[in-house]
Amino acid sequence: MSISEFRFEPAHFPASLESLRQEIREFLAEERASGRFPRPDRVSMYVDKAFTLRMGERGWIGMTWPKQYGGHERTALERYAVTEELLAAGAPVRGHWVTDRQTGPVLLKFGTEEQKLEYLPRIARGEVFFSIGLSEPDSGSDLASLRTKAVKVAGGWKLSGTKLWNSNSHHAKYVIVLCRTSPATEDRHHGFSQLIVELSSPGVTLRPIINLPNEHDFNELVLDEVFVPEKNLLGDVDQGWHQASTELAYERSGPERWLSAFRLLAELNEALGSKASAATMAAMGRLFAHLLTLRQMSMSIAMTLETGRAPNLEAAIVKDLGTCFEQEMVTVARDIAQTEGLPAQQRGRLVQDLLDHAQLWTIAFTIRGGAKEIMRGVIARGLGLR
Amino acid sequence: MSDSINMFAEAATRLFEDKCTKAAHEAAEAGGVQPALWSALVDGGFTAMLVPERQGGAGASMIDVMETLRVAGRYSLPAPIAETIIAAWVLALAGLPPVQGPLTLALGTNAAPWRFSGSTGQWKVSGKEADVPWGATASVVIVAQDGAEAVVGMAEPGRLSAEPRSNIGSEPRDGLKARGRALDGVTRTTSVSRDQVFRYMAMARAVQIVGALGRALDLSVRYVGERKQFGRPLSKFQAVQQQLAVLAGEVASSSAITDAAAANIDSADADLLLAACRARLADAIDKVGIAHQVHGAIGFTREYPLQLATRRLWGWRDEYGSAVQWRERLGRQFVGTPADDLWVRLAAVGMAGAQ
Repeated sequence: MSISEFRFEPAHFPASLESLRQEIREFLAEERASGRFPRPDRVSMYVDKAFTLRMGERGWIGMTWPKQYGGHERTALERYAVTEELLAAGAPVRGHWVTDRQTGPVLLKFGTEEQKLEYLPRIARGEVFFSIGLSEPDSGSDLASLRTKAVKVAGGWKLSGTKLWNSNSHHAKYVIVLCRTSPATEDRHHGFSQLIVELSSPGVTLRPIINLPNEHDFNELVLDEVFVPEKNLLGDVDQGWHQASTELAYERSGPERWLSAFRLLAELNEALGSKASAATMAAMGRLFAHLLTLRQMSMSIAMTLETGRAPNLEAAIVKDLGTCFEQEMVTVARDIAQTEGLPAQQRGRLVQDLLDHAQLWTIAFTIRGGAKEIMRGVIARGLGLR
Repeated sequence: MSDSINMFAEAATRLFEDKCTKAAHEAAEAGGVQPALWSALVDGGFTAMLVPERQGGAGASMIDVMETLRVAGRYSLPAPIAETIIAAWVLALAGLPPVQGPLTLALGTNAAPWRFSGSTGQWKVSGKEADVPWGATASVVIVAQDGAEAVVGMAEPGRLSAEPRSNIGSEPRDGLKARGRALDGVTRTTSVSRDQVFRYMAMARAVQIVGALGRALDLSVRYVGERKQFGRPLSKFQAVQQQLAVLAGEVASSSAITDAAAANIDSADADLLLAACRARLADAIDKVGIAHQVHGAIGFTREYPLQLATRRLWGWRDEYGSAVQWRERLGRQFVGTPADDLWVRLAAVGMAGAQ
């Protein structure tokens, strides 16, 4: 098949999703009206544990999981609609976001019955967060070179190594660590395992790393002969690489890849009023065209995920395009704000705050979750070039 | 990825693969629509595909048409196939007799519409329009809006004064002019409107663009796999891989938004999605230089077929609405909307047809 025949299945969303959207919009409006979360003046999500608990109460965490594990057995498309609404509103969902998106599905797929019962209900209630332990000081994009190692001991494993760029682990109770349990064979992806580590275990040290926008999100996680009980092995020994890769399509194709800086676009759009110049209308229209296109692609993938297929190539395309779009959007927005004289006006203040914050945060967009060069490598493989 | 195979698109692929040869393109650029190619299009049922069956056409759907024109774009089909399909449909709906040979459309602009005067048997038309596809050589279906009614007139080749020109893709884009020129076939109709015909043509260009973008990408992927430098195929260089990945993303995006616009072309969201589509396509076209870059000097020649796709793309980018117009149109729909309502409005786009 030639690549030009490569097509995203057109998205047909059921109208029934609209009532769910309405429900969450009302919830968010209420939260805002009561002052529980302020009109966002920055683009990053932040942690609000009370908000997360209310999300759990409403049944918007673990939406697609089986009820026996605290889930709500809703469709992937329903979950998709909720994530769009939360992102567009700039809701403080950082606490549970990645746990809900990645940890839950991995536990469901590879966890033992005991693990599922132990963790999933608490996650779905919004009480417990997981962090993801992948990158290391010497292993970033080349993750398979990682050196954190677990050695078999009586009753479990002894885990040693250093994980870096651990997001949110200072709020989390657990981290899922990808580590070596056997040497590589001809297949360098063989011999990895995933271990669930309680962050309060002896031998675990967390060091905060302040990021470019001056926020504490990252941590360095040092594991010094940490004992991990046998029951905390996730899935099969030495099969961790495959397990860790299965959720990439969820991570990469979602609306967070093109709605992360949406508050900037929304506030700029409001501040412009209806009297902006034709050139500004066109510049804004161009951004909307990209956004609507990305949404079509993202929705198409959500539909494919619903069928159980993992469209990793399509997801890489959405991640590359979405994150590049958000970076470019900041540049375009800055010029529009200047052209229309917004910084000098009262109504331009919020836009300026968002611009400055987005300028710093969007730098991370094309790095986190797989650098854009890696995404393009995946796409090039899809083209048959490598 | 779509598994559905469109019958018309499949037949078109077979026919165009056979007929759109290098010689056919050279002949078309030198002498207009080639009779042998045209007969093949007529015999294949393509020219009248949108005409209802009871009027002698194939009674195809608009989706069939768009899938077919996507293939036409892919093969740089050197004939006014999009124009003929839509114009023949307009004639059929207006109740005017079918016309043999290539057709085109003169839709005027909002500022300068065509004007009809007179009445049955004594119709006259006035106006002028630039860049009418094959306007000097095809039969011209003129559409003007008069309140709730459209006035449709047919001018056989040579009836209007023509000033031949061509677009950057060497396709005829002729100036047409008439001052009180008598026409035989004119009628009033509420079955079509000028804006609807314009929308279909804008959509037709979009799918042609997607076809041509796919062609540019395919040629590039093939070429870098064959061409060796420094002892290995160009495809093995990361710099080349990364560039083509970018182009592939542009092609995939173009395809996605164009499919969405085509699926909604008769819905309440048609104009919004079409504006988003045409605005997005322009940005994809602006990246097609990547295809040339990876080809090196051979892509800068007339003998290598990449130019058939890319020169058309640069021409089509601003036809039936320029990129700037489409962007502005989209912007005006949303700019000024309160921050918390913007998402609600954006999320509703494309939902008009949802069940």
